[in-house]
Amino acid sequence: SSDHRSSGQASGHNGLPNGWTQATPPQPRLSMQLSEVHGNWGQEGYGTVYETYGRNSQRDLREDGDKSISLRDKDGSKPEDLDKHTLLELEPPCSSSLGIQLGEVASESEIRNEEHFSESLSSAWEHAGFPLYLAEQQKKLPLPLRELMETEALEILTKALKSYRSKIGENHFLTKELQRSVEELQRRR
Amino acid sequence: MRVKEGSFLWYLYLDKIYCLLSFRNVKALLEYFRLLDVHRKNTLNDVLFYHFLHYVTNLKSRQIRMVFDMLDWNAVGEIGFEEFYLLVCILLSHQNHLEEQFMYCHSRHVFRLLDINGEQRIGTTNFHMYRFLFNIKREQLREFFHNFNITGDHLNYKEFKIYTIFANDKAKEKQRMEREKVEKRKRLKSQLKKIVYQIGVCQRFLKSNLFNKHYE
Repeated sequence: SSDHRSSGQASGHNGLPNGWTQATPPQPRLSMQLSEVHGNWGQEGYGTVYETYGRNSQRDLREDGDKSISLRDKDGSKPEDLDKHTLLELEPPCSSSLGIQLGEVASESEIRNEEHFSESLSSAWEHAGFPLYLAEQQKKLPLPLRELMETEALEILTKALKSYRSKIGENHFLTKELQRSVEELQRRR
Repeated sequence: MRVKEGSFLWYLYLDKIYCLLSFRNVKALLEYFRLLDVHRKNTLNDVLFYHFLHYVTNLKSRQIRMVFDMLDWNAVGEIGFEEFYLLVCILLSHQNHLEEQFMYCHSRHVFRLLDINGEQRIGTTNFHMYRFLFNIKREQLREFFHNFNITGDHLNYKEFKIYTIFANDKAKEKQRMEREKVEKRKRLKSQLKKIVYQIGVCQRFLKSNLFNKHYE
Protein backbone atom coordinates (compact mmCIF):
# COMPACT_ATOMS: atom_id res chain seq x y z
CA SER A 1 0.00 0.00 0.00
CA SER A 2 2.88 2.39 0.63
CA ASP A 3 4.78 0.91 -2.32
CA HIS A 4 3.04 3.30 -4.73
CA ARG A 5 4.86 6.17 -3.14
CA SER A 6 8.28 4.82 -4.04
CA SER A 7 7.22 4.00 -7.56
CA GLY A 8 4.90 6.89 -8.20
CA GLN A 9 7.11 9.79 -7.23
CA ALA A 10 10.65 10.91 -6.79
CA SER A 11 11.64 10.10 -3.28
CA GLY A 12 11.43 12.79 -0.68
CA HIS A 13 11.15 11.87 2.92
CA ASN A 14 8.23 14.20 3.30
CA GLY A 15 6.39 12.55 0.45
CA LEU A 16 6.38 15.49 -1.90
CA PRO A 17 8.10 15.26 -5.23
CA ASN A 18 11.69 16.36 -5.24
CA GLY A 19 10.97 19.89 -6.36
CA TRP A 20 12.13 21.21 -3.01
CA THR A 21 15.67 22.41 -3.22
CA GLN A 22 17.79 23.84 -0.48
CA ALA A 23 20.02 26.89 -0.61
CA THR A 24 22.11 28.99 1.73
CA PRO A 25 25.01 31.15 0.75
CA PRO A 26 28.16 30.97 2.90
CA GLN A 27 27.11 33.53 5.49
CA PRO A 28 30.31 34.50 7.30
CA ARG A 29 31.90 35.49 4.00
CA LEU A 30 28.84 37.48 3.08
CA SER A 31 28.92 39.60 6.20
CA MET A 32 32.62 40.25 5.65
CA GLN A 33 32.00 41.31 2.08
CA LEU A 34 29.15 43.59 3.11
CA SER A 35 31.40 45.69 5.36
CA GLU A 36 34.16 45.73 2.72
CA VAL A 37 31.80 46.91 0.05
CA HIS A 38 30.24 49.52 2.28
CA GLY A 39 33.70 50.84 3.13
CA ASN A 40 34.89 50.78 -0.50
CA TRP A 41 31.94 52.55 -1.97
CA GLY A 42 31.82 55.44 0.40
CA GLN A 43 28.50 56.35 -1.12
CA GLU A 44 25.92 56.07 1.56
CA GLY A 45 22.94 55.80 -0.73
CA TYR A 46 24.07 52.73 -2.56
CA GLY A 47 25.83 51.33 0.46
CA THR A 48 22.73 51.67 2.60
CA VAL A 49 20.48 50.08 0.00
CA TYR A 50 23.02 47.36 -0.58
CA GLU A 51 23.56 46.73 3.11
CA THR A 52 19.85 46.73 3.93
CA TYR A 53 19.07 44.44 1.05
CA GLY A 54 21.96 42.17 1.92
CA ARG A 55 20.92 42.01 5.57
CA ASN A 56 17.31 41.28 4.71
CA SER A 57 18.21 38.53 2.31
CA GLN A 58 20.58 37.05 4.89
CA ARG A 59 17.89 37.16 7.56
CA ASP A 60 15.27 35.63 5.30
CA LEU A 61 17.58 32.84 4.33
CA ARG A 62 18.54 32.18 7.94
CA GLU A 63 14.92 32.05 9.02
CA ASP A 64 14.20 29.19 6.65
CA GLY A 65 16.27 26.71 8.59
CA ASP A 66 16.61 23.77 6.23
CA LYS A 67 18.75 25.18 3.41
CA SER A 68 22.25 24.47 2.26
CA ILE A 69 24.13 25.13 -0.91
CA SER A 70 27.76 25.79 -1.46
CA LEU A 71 28.43 28.38 -4.10
CA ARG A 72 32.03 27.22 -4.19
CA ASP A 73 30.85 23.76 -5.14
CA LYS A 74 28.49 25.24 -7.67
CA ASP A 75 30.96 27.52 -9.42
CA GLY A 76 34.22 25.77 -8.76
CA SER A 77 35.73 29.28 -8.64
CA LYS A 78 38.78 30.64 -6.85
CA PRO A 79 38.41 32.32 -3.46
CA GLU A 80 39.03 35.81 -4.83
CA ASP A 81 36.44 35.25 -7.56
CA LEU A 82 34.05 33.87 -5.00
CA ASP A 83 34.27 37.10 -3.06
CA LYS A 84 33.05 38.93 -6.11
CA HIS A 85 30.35 36.30 -6.57
CA THR A 86 29.14 36.67 -3.05
CA LEU A 87 29.17 40.44 -3.42
CA LEU A 88 27.13 40.31 -6.54
CA GLU A 89 24.60 37.73 -5.41
CA LEU A 90 23.21 40.12 -2.81
CA GLU A 91 22.32 42.64 -5.45
CA PRO A 92 18.68 42.97 -6.49
CA PRO A 93 18.41 41.19 -9.82
CA CYS A 94 16.30 43.86 -11.51
CA SER A 95 18.50 46.86 -10.79
CA SER A 96 20.67 47.01 -13.90
CA SER A 97 21.94 50.55 -13.27
CA LEU A 98 23.05 49.59 -9.81
CA GLY A 99 24.69 46.57 -11.33
CA ILE A 100 26.64 48.68 -13.80
CA GLN A 101 27.81 50.97 -11.01
CA LEU A 102 28.69 47.98 -8.91
CA GLY A 103 30.75 46.68 -11.77
CA GLU A 104 32.48 50.02 -12.05
CA VAL A 105 33.17 50.24 -8.33
CA ALA A 106 34.31 46.65 -8.22
CA SER A 107 36.70 47.12 -11.11
CA GLU A 108 38.07 50.27 -9.45
CA SER A 109 38.46 48.61 -6.08
CA GLU A 110 39.83 45.27 -7.38
CA ILE A 111 43.32 45.89 -8.87
CA ARG A 112 44.35 42.29 -9.62
CA ASN A 113 42.70 39.85 -12.12
CA GLU A 114 40.62 42.35 -14.05
CA GLU A 115 40.28 39.93 -16.95
CA HIS A 116 39.06 37.22 -14.64
CA PHE A 117 36.71 39.66 -13.04
CA SER A 118 35.01 40.64 -16.27
CA GLU A 119 34.56 36.97 -17.15
CA SER A 120 33.26 36.07 -13.75
CA LEU A 121 31.05 39.16 -13.75
CA SER A 122 28.94 37.84 -16.60
CA SER A 123 28.62 34.41 -15.00
CA ALA A 124 28.05 35.94 -11.60
CA TRP A 125 25.20 37.98 -13.02
CA GLU A 126 23.49 34.72 -13.84
CA HIS A 127 23.84 33.61 -10.24
CA ALA A 128 23.12 36.99 -8.72
CA GLY A 129 19.39 36.42 -8.42
CA PHE A 130 19.61 32.66 -8.05
CA PRO A 131 19.79 32.33 -4.23
CA LEU A 132 17.12 34.98 -3.90
CA TYR A 133 14.98 33.13 -6.39
CA LEU A 134 15.55 29.92 -4.45
CA ALA A 135 14.69 31.60 -1.17
CA GLU A 136 11.43 32.80 -2.66
CA GLN A 137 10.69 29.42 -4.18
CA GLN A 138 11.25 27.75 -0.79
CA LYS A 139 8.06 29.37 0.40
CA LYS A 140 6.13 28.23 -2.64
CA LEU A 141 5.03 24.78 -3.66
CA PRO A 142 6.97 22.90 -6.33
CA LEU A 143 5.53 23.53 -9.78
CA PRO A 144 4.49 19.95 -10.65
CA LEU A 145 2.57 19.70 -7.39
CA ARG A 146 0.91 23.04 -7.91
CA GLU A 147 -0.13 22.04 -11.40
CA LEU A 148 -1.60 18.79 -10.10
CA MET A 149 -3.51 20.66 -7.40
CA GLU A 150 -4.87 23.24 -9.83
CA THR A 151 -5.91 20.63 -12.39
CA GLU A 152 -7.72 18.64 -9.76
CA ALA A 153 -9.33 21.70 -8.17
CA LEU A 154 -10.50 22.84 -11.60
CA GLU A 155 -12.23 19.53 -12.26
CA ILE A 156 -13.88 19.50 -8.84
CA LEU A 157 -15.02 23.11 -9.10
CA THR A 158 -16.36 22.66 -12.64
CA LYS A 159 -18.62 19.87 -11.40
CA ALA A 160 -19.59 21.94 -8.38
CA LEU A 161 -20.50 24.81 -10.70
CA LYS A 162 -22.95 22.55 -12.55
CA SER A 163 -24.57 21.64 -9.21
CA TYR A 164 -24.77 25.31 -8.20
CA ARG A 165 -26.39 26.24 -11.50
CA SER A 166 -28.96 23.47 -11.26
CA LYS A 167 -29.76 24.07 -7.57
CA ILE A 168 -29.55 27.81 -7.00
CA GLY A 169 -29.50 29.17 -10.53
CA GLU A 170 -26.98 31.04 -12.63
CA ASN A 171 -27.65 34.49 -11.24
CA HIS A 172 -27.03 33.68 -7.60
CA PHE A 173 -23.99 35.46 -6.18
CA LEU A 174 -22.48 32.17 -4.97
CA THR A 175 -22.69 30.75 -8.49
CA LYS A 176 -21.01 33.86 -9.84
CA GLU A 177 -18.24 33.62 -7.26
CA LEU A 178 -17.62 30.00 -8.15
CA GLN A 179 -17.71 30.82 -11.84
CA ARG A 180 -15.07 33.52 -11.34
CA SER A 181 -12.80 31.04 -9.52
CA VAL A 182 -13.23 28.47 -12.27
CA GLU A 183 -12.42 31.04 -14.94
CA GLU A 184 -9.34 32.15 -13.03
CA LEU A 185 -8.09 28.59 -12.78
CA GLN A 186 -8.77 28.02 -16.47
CA ARG A 187 -6.76 31.12 -17.32
CA ARG A 188 -3.82 29.80 -15.31
CA ARG A 189 -3.73 26.47 -17.17
CA MET B 1 -12.92 2.76 0.32
CA ARG B 2 -9.99 3.85 -1.86
CA VAL B 3 -8.20 7.10 -2.53
CA LYS B 4 -8.01 7.74 -6.27
CA GLU B 5 -4.60 6.83 -7.64
CA GLY B 6 -2.70 9.82 -8.97
CA SER B 7 -4.85 12.33 -7.12
CA PHE B 8 -3.26 14.99 -4.95
CA LEU B 9 -4.12 13.16 -1.72
CA TRP B 10 -2.57 10.01 -3.07
CA TYR B 11 0.83 11.70 -3.11
CA LEU B 12 0.67 12.85 0.50
CA TYR B 13 2.67 10.90 3.03
CA LEU B 14 1.14 9.86 6.34
CA ASP B 15 3.55 9.19 9.16
CA LYS B 16 3.08 5.55 10.16
CA ILE B 17 3.60 6.07 13.88
CA TYR B 18 1.67 9.27 14.58
CA CYS B 19 -0.71 8.96 11.62
CA LEU B 20 -0.32 12.64 10.80
CA LEU B 21 1.07 14.64 7.91
CA SER B 22 4.37 16.50 8.03
CA PHE B 23 4.44 20.30 8.13
CA ARG B 24 5.18 20.57 4.41
CA ASN B 25 2.37 18.21 3.56
CA VAL B 26 0.01 20.27 5.71
CA LYS B 27 1.15 23.42 3.93
CA ALA B 28 0.45 21.81 0.59
CA LEU B 29 -2.92 20.62 1.84
CA LEU B 30 -3.75 24.12 3.01
CA GLU B 31 -3.02 25.48 -0.48
CA TYR B 32 -5.29 22.83 -1.92
CA PHE B 33 -8.03 23.71 0.56
CA ARG B 34 -7.74 27.37 -0.39
CA LEU B 35 -8.18 26.52 -4.05
CA LEU B 36 -11.44 24.78 -3.19
CA ASP B 37 -12.55 27.55 -0.81
CA VAL B 38 -14.01 29.67 -3.61
CA HIS B 39 -16.17 31.81 -1.31
CA ARG B 40 -13.18 32.84 0.81
CA LYS B 41 -14.70 31.78 4.12
CA ASN B 42 -12.00 29.25 5.11
CA THR B 43 -14.69 26.59 4.86
CA LEU B 44 -16.17 24.17 2.36
CA ASN B 45 -19.91 23.90 2.06
CA ASP B 46 -21.70 20.62 1.47
CA VAL B 47 -21.71 20.89 -2.34
CA LEU B 48 -17.99 21.62 -2.63
CA PHE B 49 -17.24 18.93 -0.04
CA TYR B 50 -19.37 16.40 -1.88
CA HIS B 51 -17.65 16.97 -5.21
CA PHE B 52 -14.22 16.91 -3.58
CA LEU B 53 -14.81 13.59 -1.84
CA HIS B 54 -16.56 12.15 -4.88
CA TYR B 55 -13.53 13.00 -6.99
CA VAL B 56 -10.79 11.74 -4.69
CA THR B 57 -12.43 8.57 -3.34
CA ASN B 58 -14.84 5.87 -4.46
CA LEU B 59 -17.33 6.60 -1.68
CA LYS B 60 -21.03 6.54 -2.51
CA SER B 61 -23.25 9.62 -2.19
CA ARG B 62 -24.88 8.32 0.98
CA GLN B 63 -21.49 7.71 2.58
CA ILE B 64 -20.23 11.16 1.58
CA ARG B 65 -23.28 12.76 3.19
CA MET B 66 -22.66 10.73 6.36
CA VAL B 67 -19.04 11.86 6.48
CA PHE B 68 -20.09 15.47 6.05
CA ASP B 69 -22.65 15.19 8.87
CA MET B 70 -20.01 13.59 11.05
CA LEU B 71 -17.48 16.38 10.45
CA ASP B 72 -20.00 19.23 10.63
CA TRP B 73 -20.18 18.78 14.38
CA ASN B 74 -21.82 22.18 15.03
CA ALA B 75 -24.32 21.76 12.16
CA VAL B 76 -23.48 24.98 10.31
CA GLY B 77 -23.42 23.32 6.90
CA GLU B 78 -19.70 23.95 6.42
CA ILE B 79 -16.44 22.37 7.46
CA GLY B 80 -13.23 24.18 8.24
CA PHE B 81 -9.62 23.27 7.55
CA GLU B 82 -9.18 21.40 10.85
CA GLU B 83 -11.96 18.97 10.01
CA PHE B 84 -10.67 18.75 6.43
CA TYR B 85 -7.19 17.85 7.69
CA LEU B 86 -8.63 15.25 10.06
CA LEU B 87 -10.60 13.71 7.21
CA VAL B 88 -7.52 13.55 4.99
CA CYS B 89 -5.61 11.77 7.77
CA ILE B 90 -8.49 9.29 8.16
CA LEU B 91 -8.56 8.65 4.40
CA LEU B 92 -4.82 8.14 4.22
CA SER B 93 -4.73 5.90 7.27
CA HIS B 94 -7.45 3.78 5.67
CA GLN B 95 -5.46 3.73 2.44
CA ASN B 96 -2.38 2.52 4.32
CA HIS B 97 -4.23 0.02 6.55
CA LEU B 98 -3.46 2.07 9.64
CA GLU B 99 -7.04 2.57 10.83
CA GLU B 100 -6.45 0.91 14.21
CA GLN B 101 -3.23 2.85 14.72
CA PHE B 102 -5.06 6.07 13.85
CA MET B 103 -7.89 5.36 16.29
CA TYR B 104 -5.38 4.52 19.00
CA CYS B 105 -3.30 7.69 18.45
CA HIS B 106 -6.27 10.03 18.07
CA SER B 107 -8.89 8.28 20.17
CA ARG B 108 -10.29 11.50 21.62
CA HIS B 109 -10.94 13.01 18.17
CA VAL B 110 -12.42 9.81 16.80
CA PHE B 111 -14.65 9.47 19.87
CA ARG B 112 -15.97 13.01 19.35
CA LEU B 113 -16.64 12.27 15.69
CA LEU B 114 -18.51 9.04 16.40
CA ASP B 115 -20.46 10.60 19.27
CA ILE B 116 -22.94 12.04 16.80
CA ASN B 117 -25.56 12.95 19.41
CA GLY B 118 -23.14 14.55 21.82
CA GLU B 119 -24.02 12.16 24.64
CA GLN B 120 -20.42 11.37 25.57
CA ARG B 121 -20.97 7.77 24.51
CA ILE B 122 -21.01 5.81 21.28
CA GLY B 123 -23.58 3.22 20.37
CA THR B 124 -22.80 0.08 18.40
CA THR B 125 -25.04 1.41 15.62
CA ASN B 126 -22.65 4.34 15.17
CA PHE B 127 -19.75 1.97 15.02
CA HIS B 128 -21.43 0.00 12.28
CA MET B 129 -22.47 3.12 10.41
CA TYR B 130 -18.89 4.32 10.10
CA ARG B 131 -17.21 0.98 9.65
CA PHE B 132 -16.37 1.92 6.04
CA LEU B 133 -14.12 4.71 7.33
CA PHE B 134 -12.46 3.07 10.29
CA ASN B 135 -12.62 -0.55 9.24
CA ILE B 136 -14.31 -1.57 12.49
CA LYS B 137 -15.16 -5.26 12.35
CA ARG B 138 -18.45 -6.55 13.73
CA GLU B 139 -16.90 -9.75 15.13
CA GLN B 140 -14.10 -7.81 16.76
CA LEU B 141 -16.61 -5.51 18.44
CA ARG B 142 -18.60 -8.46 19.67
CA GLU B 143 -15.46 -10.11 21.02
CA PHE B 144 -14.48 -6.89 22.74
CA PHE B 145 -17.88 -6.51 24.39
CA HIS B 146 -17.72 -10.10 25.53
CA ASN B 147 -14.10 -10.09 26.81
CA PHE B 148 -14.40 -6.84 28.67
CA ASN B 149 -17.87 -7.49 30.08
CA ILE B 150 -19.32 -4.36 28.56
CA THR B 151 -22.99 -4.24 29.41
CA GLY B 152 -25.46 -2.44 27.26
CA ASP B 153 -24.55 -1.35 23.75
CA HIS B 154 -22.82 1.95 24.43
CA LEU B 155 -19.22 2.85 25.14
CA ASN B 156 -17.97 5.83 27.10
CA TYR B 157 -14.59 7.35 26.33
CA LYS B 158 -12.55 5.11 28.65
CA GLU B 159 -14.14 1.98 27.23
CA PHE B 160 -13.60 3.30 23.73
CA LYS B 161 -9.94 3.95 24.51
CA ILE B 162 -9.57 0.35 25.73
CA TYR B 163 -11.27 -0.79 22.53
CA THR B 164 -8.69 1.13 20.45
CA ILE B 165 -5.85 -0.55 22.38
CA PHE B 166 -7.50 -3.92 21.89
CA ALA B 167 -8.08 -3.33 18.16
CA ASN B 168 -4.54 -2.00 17.66
CA ASP B 169 -3.03 -5.05 19.38
CA LYS B 170 -5.14 -7.34 17.23
CA ALA B 171 -4.09 -5.54 14.07
CA LYS B 172 -0.39 -5.73 15.01
CA GLU B 173 -0.77 -9.42 15.87
CA LYS B 174 -2.38 -10.02 12.48
CA GLN B 175 0.40 -8.13 10.69
CA ARG B 176 3.03 -10.10 12.61
CA MET B 177 1.40 -13.41 11.66
CA GLU B 178 1.19 -12.38 8.03
CA ARG B 179 4.85 -11.40 8.06
CA GLU B 180 5.77 -14.75 9.61
CA LYS B 181 3.73 -16.58 6.96
CA VAL B 182 5.54 -14.72 4.20
CA GLU B 183 8.91 -15.46 5.77
CA LYS B 184 8.03 -19.13 6.19
CA ARG B 185 7.02 -19.35 2.56
CA LYS B 186 10.30 -17.73 1.53
CA ARG B 187 12.30 -20.17 3.67
CA LEU B 188 10.42 -23.15 2.24
CA LYS B 189 11.03 -21.92 -1.29
CA SER B 190 14.75 -21.50 -0.71
CA GLN B 191 14.95 -24.98 0.93
CA LEU B 192 13.11 -26.53 -2.00
CA LYS B 193 15.49 -24.85 -4.39
CA LYS B 194 18.47 -26.29 -2.50
CA ILE B 195 17.00 -29.79 -2.53
CA VAL B 196 16.26 -29.62 -6.24
CA TYR B 197 19.80 -28.39 -6.88
CA GLN B 198 21.30 -31.22 -4.83
CA ILE B 199 19.17 -33.82 -6.63
CA GLY B 200 20.39 -32.39 -9.92
CA VAL B 201 24.01 -32.61 -8.83
CA CYS B 202 23.57 -36.23 -7.69
CA GLN B 203 21.91 -37.21 -10.94
CA ARG B 204 24.72 -35.70 -12.99
CA PHE B 205 27.28 -37.45 -10.82
CA LEU B 206 25.56 -40.83 -11.23
CA LYS B 207 25.21 -40.37 -14.99
CA SER B 208 28.87 -39.54 -15.43
CA ASN B 209 29.86 -42.58 -13.28
CA LEU B 210 27.70 -44.94 -15.30
CA PHE B 211 29.08 -43.45 -18.52
CA ASN B 212 32.67 -44.01 -17.36
CA LYS B 213 31.95 -47.56 -16.24
CA HIS B 214 30.33 -48.37 -19.56
CA TYR B 215 33.41 -47.27 -21.45
CA GLU B 216 35.69 -49.14 -19.11
